[in-house]
Amino acid sequence: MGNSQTRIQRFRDMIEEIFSIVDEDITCGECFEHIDVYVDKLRSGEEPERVLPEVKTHLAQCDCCREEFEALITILEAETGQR
Amino acid sequence: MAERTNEQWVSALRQRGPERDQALEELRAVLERGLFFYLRGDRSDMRDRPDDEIRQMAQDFAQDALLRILDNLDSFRGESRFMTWAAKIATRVAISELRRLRWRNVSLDYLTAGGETLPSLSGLAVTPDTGPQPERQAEREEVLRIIDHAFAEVLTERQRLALTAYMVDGVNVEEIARRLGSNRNAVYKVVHDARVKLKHYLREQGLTLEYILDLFASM
Repeated sequence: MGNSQTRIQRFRDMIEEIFSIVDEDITCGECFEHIDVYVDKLRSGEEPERVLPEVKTHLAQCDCCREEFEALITILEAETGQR
Repeated sequence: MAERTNEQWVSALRQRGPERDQALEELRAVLERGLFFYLRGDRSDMRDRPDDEIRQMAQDFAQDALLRILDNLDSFRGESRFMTWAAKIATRVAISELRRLRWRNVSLDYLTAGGETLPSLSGLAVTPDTGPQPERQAEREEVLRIIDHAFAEVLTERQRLALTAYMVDGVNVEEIARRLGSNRNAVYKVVHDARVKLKHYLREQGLTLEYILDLFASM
């Protein structure tokens, strides 16, 4: 029973992912190119989505880039001791 | 120690001799520390590994990252902090390798063979008739039929394979690209186009997110 519960939830998550897709998106390469600027703004309290809204959209839709983005935040937190 | 400016970093790394060596070592140490924090703290797949193994991985990744950073020094445009830019490269190096290791021995035959071995999205939602709201079972079957049809007829073969691997099996885009002999950007585009197509097709069939979530309410 627990197993089919998990499968149903995964199905629901995927349906939600499909319906919330934004049609226009950049590539992973373009995201990577701008992610350092994006992260600097985020960490300095600016709103990066004002200048780089396409990066924010891509991060919401691309698991791979989001994983790297979150890792970058962690690595930088270690640098400045903000952890 | 005062933080180096972008100009100081780039200038030092372009030198030869002790000034460069010192900058390299400083950079290496910062990256290794950050990578260790990440591997130790943020990755459940590293949880059972001892500290010294994690430290070795962080060292190796930092070393690889240094080479990549030096190779790409000319492409640093100074629009971000040098350390952020460098850490970005280190992150990519580390995560790429971790992904390669994670999927190294996993068989994903359907990516190259396709056909009946393909895991399906609709297969996840098959419930016994004694599930919640059994009177709505016919509606559920209809929705799953529409989804299956979309996968089989609306998506291209490439879109079907890539999207299945990405969404159903949780394979990252780099790994899918590796198996298909393609590149990350191209595969992401395939995955993205597939999701967009599905979204529009499901909407055209009169399905909404709310309707489907309600129909397949958690048990």
